[in-house]
Amino acid sequence: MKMHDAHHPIAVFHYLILPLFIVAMLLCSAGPKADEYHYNNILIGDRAAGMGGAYTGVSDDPAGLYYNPAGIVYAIGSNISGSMNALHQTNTTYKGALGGTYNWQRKSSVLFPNYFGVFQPLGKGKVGFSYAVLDSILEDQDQTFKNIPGTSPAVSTFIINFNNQDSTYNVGPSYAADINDKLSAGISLYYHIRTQERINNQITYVLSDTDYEWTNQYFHTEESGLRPVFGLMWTPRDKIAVGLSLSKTFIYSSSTEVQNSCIGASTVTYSSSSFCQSDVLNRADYKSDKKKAYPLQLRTGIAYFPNERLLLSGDLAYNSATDASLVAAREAVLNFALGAEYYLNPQWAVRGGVYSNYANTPELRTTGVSGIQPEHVDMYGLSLSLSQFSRNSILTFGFTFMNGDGKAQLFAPDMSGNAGLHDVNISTLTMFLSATYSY
Amino acid sequence: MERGLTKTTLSLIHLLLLTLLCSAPVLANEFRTRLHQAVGEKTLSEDVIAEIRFGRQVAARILGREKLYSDEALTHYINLIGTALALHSSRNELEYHFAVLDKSYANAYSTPGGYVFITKGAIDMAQDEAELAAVLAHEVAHVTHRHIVKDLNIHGTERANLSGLTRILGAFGDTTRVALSKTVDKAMSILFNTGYNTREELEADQTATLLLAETGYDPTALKRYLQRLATAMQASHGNETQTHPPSAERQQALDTLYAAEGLDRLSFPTVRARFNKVTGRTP
Repeated sequence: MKMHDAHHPIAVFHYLILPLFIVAMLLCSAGPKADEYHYNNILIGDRAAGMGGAYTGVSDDPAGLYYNPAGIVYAIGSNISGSMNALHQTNTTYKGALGGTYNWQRKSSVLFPNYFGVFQPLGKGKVGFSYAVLDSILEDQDQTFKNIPGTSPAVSTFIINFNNQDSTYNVGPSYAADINDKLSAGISLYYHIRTQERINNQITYVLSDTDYEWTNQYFHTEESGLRPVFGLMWTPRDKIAVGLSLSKTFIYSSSTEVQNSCIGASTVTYSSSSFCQSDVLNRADYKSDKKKAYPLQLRTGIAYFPNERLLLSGDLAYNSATDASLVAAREAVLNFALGAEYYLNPQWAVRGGVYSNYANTPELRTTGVSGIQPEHVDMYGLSLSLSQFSRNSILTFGFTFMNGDGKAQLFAPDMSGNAGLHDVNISTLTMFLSATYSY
Repeated sequence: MERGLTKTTLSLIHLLLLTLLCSAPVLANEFRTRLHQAVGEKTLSEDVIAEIRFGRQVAARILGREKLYSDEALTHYINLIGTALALHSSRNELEYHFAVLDKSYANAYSTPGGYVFITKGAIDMAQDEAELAAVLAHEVAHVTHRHIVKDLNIHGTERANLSGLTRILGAFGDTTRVALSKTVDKAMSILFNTGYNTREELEADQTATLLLAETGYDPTALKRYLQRLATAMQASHGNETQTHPPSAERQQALDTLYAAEGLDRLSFPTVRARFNKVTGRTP
């Protein structure tokens, strides 16, 4: 079982912010959730997204710069550009989190430019440029809960104001060329940027709103680095292509800042080790330049092109385990994707796909626990898209839906080490609209 | 512990890859061609297909009548300019073709579907690339407005009727061939004898001017060219370009357009240096 490192600033925050009231301990769960615990939250590229991300063996359009740059060698047409905008919504529900009665929901909705890519011939190969938004979260919630049962002293009003913005971008050039008539190679060199800012403000009223506890947390992290993507595309026989790509993000600059504040309730007796104390404003600030460790990602895919109407594709994406760094250690993950494309006629094509987005965290333990365990939710996704073709352009509309159930530990374990887990459900819906143009 | 697929699944995948390794080689990735790429013009509407096929027939008739000017560099140059204009035009479903006719008089022609011809004399009349682009843009505008298509009522098969043309475009037989030939004759007559009507010419001038500006050329180039053409016509008393309305009327319409759109205040390039280099003129 991987736990937060108690000496780490984020982990320190978790241990320090253990207020008396159970509800206020939602602080512990309101961390960097989706980006941290999964590697496949947003599918990149229109055709690729429609096929569930099963694209490493295809990769013959601008999205190929991201999945497997070697594939752009085989694009039909010399100059191609593509862009895609997406509305991405995430809904996370912690069931019975508040007094066993109220569910705690985190909702994110963000409209963002998912992808842009362009390439053209250069010498014996093709040169391209692309950017991709690998993950994007925008949570902005103001919620009030009344008379939460099972609390002592009785919580009459619980108010939480929560804002979380977390985005990861990759942008950079690519080059790909034939090695021989069956093999091509390519490389993309992405500049990696991630920015997260989170503000969590909570007020817990007790004794019929005559007394309260106030806590506030500010979290900000910025990191930048490089992410090279090496790709190979192999054509072993007619109508079949096998793709392979290898990538890893190397962080060379990272800055994290955490600020915690609390004023304890007047009528509550806090333990001496508690961060919150009655009628006292306690502050604790932390800074860190520790760099987050990213996994080595190996993608392999096979694509079968039986005729001009049909395309079948399958991918496996392996992300290696990582050691504890800025965040806790992560387990290795192997995700799959299956996709298909079918032309109804020369003007219209439909695509569909299924894929997984497994958690990179271990299964949660119920006993023998000494800290907060990261949540564990395995998800499965479904994608569907429709494209209209004209002479030089393609318009695509589609969506992906992902859903999964798992366990989360919202509160610190009791003195006996019992975790007190909660059921959690995560569902995401991404709708996208894209245009591809060849010239 | 590795999550996701099992070792058994991975073994099956490795087996599949080994099988592929032992398979017969393949020379190209032609199998990647998608249906919309394979069928080409099938993605176009029946009307556009009919237009292209008809325009091809008219272009063939022009090439049977006039000789092409044999200068590969100049033809390439014309195609570069024309393609740049076409990219900014409103009909990107068409693939434009540009060629130079070996004629000393100044004129240009376009047929439905995007076949554009300019005489060597028209090129000689220009003094910079913007003016040359203006002539080509005028012809592109005739295509984008489908002037001949409308004048001759050319439609696709789904809209064809007994009085329409386009049954002939996909049909065979003497009757249809004669009908096609007569319609091509009418198009040739418009291009080389009667010309477009005044409304169509002014419409093409207006669209060409906007196209010049959108492409980045000096939008007043067309007026400059018309002025020089009119002067030359008066001097020579030629009649080769009587297919167009009076130059004064066209220039006046352009002045109105410049004022309305503020085009005369733009300082877009004329690209004279490149024009001189390609045409071999002394700056």
